[in-house]
Amino acid sequence: MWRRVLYKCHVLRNCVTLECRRTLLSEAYACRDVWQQRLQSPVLQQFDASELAVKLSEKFEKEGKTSAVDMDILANKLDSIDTVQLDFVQSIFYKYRHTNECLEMPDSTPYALIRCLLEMGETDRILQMLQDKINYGIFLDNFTANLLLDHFIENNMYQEGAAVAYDLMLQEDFSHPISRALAWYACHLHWKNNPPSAEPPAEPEEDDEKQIWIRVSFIENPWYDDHFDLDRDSLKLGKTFVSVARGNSDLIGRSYQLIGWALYEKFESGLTLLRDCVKSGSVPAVTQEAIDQFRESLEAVQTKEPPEEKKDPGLVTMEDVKPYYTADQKAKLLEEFQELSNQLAATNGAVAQESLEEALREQACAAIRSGEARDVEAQRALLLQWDEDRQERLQSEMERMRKLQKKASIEQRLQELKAREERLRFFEQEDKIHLSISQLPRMRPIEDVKEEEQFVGTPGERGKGF
Amino acid sequence: MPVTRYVGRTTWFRGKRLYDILSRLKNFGKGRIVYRHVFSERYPEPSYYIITKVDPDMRDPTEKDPANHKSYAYGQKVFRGEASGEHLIKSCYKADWRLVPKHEEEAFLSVKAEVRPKNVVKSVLPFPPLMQHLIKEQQKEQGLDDMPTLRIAIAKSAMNKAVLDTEKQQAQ
Repeated sequence: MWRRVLYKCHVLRNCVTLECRRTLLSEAYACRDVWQQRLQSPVLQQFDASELAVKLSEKFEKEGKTSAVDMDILANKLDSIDTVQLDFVQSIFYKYRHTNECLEMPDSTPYALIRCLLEMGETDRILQMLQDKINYGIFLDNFTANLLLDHFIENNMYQEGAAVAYDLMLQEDFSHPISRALAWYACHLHWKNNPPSAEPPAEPEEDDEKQIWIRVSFIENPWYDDHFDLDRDSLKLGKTFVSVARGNSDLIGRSYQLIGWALYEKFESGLTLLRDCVKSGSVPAVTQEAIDQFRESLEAVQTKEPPEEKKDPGLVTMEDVKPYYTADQKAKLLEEFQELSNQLAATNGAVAQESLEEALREQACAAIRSGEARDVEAQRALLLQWDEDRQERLQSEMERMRKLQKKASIEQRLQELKAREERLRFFEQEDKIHLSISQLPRMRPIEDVKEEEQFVGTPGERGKGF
Repeated sequence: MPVTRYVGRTTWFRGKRLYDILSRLKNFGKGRIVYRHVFSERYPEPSYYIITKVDPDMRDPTEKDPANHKSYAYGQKVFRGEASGEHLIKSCYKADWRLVPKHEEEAFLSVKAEVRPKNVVKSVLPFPPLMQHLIKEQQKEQGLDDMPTLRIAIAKSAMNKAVLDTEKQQAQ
């Protein structure tokens, strides 16, 4: 009996999850037909992915570089590669980024790379490559961002969805309405389902007795840029909310700006927003959730007292230059916040009780409805265009290689001819040859060479070549 | 964990190396605005670059190795409020660059600097005293008495933008 009950529960749960999984982007958005069509093009058909990967790796070892079109072909053929080889392929992309050829990387390479990896289910790898911009240089375009966000939202992978949104935030590119709405929704889901902990990661204990001294010509002052240096998840989430909701001055916009300022730990900006709400008397101003989050974050924020004496410039770390709140400032902010929230609570209807999840979902659906058809068309055109471009690039690359080979062979032939001429006409030119030998710079006889006196540094400096 | 301690000369730089910023941006941040923190502290007028072209050495784009500065960039230069066209940025390796966020770009560019007064130099000056004395002696011997004057020529350069008063009158 129990088995039957359990089975029923299981079925029920499946139904529930199925119901939740209403799709956001339609099936047509992926343009599967055109995407698969690329494999039919003669350029891609003439290569086998695994062989190409091995060849490119050899080429990197021999010449230290490879052309952008080769990497583009590899990225496009990635889905036919075995999953075991992906680490190897990733290392090729790492090497590619460290050559100047990556400056000519066509837009189709990151697109193909991300799409192939997504189809193979390698989402962790995608995020790893996306987050390491310096070493992989993979950037999202509108279509891949939308596909990734949609995939993560539908599969309830909120952390990953938010990571894509953070990437858009770091690029400050919320210009595409669908990306913006989806990123907003993904961040909301992440915020709701994995409440960010305000606790910073525990710092490793420092053992003051042991010191490593490193000599540099100039000490680089650590500087916290508040953008690329954001480390904690809550800070990134906060900044993403702030930038995604910028420009929206309705209830959703204000509420998420407030949540954003709270998580981003920029409480003055949040209080300015609340003050504006009170002044303008708009109803409803913000949601209860936002106010709760603001209170929670403000109460949980870590305070620090300014250091009594200045640290030695060689010892300053990033932690020392990060902005912080002192206990006094925190108390003042709390007081002001209490006052403002009381004022808001006193105004009838200023604090909305509902959750904005439905509204955000509706906003995403509306953005998709209005922009999807246009996007599909643009994406199809782009994919076809990339196919043509690839063909052209490959041809010009082959032409270039052919020219180089021809040049090398002509040079070799010239050398041979020269040698032959010398052999055939030796007696005619004997005098000339002797003369040229006598005109060569004279070599110093070995016994003349004496060891030169070497500079000897002071004892402390010996063995250090500065 | 042992404490790492650096020993060396100190600088006033507070920022990132330029390619630390640019290689994290799509398309190497072409079209974005970057500025040197030192200049923004030193002068009231805005000084910045709008990146137009990049020429990094991708083997070590962020130039962690201080002995190896091979990454360059080009940008529309504005120095102390004066635009001077596209220039090569040589100081990419200095950890002093900052990026202007996109939503602040408009406000950043709209800051109007006061036009700095030009250094106007007299085109004709009297000779220095000793020279004057010598010339006077010479004139006396030759039986002349009109004192010659010294004509000024300006060694113009990027740093020296002084103008002669005659030039200024012509410009007006």
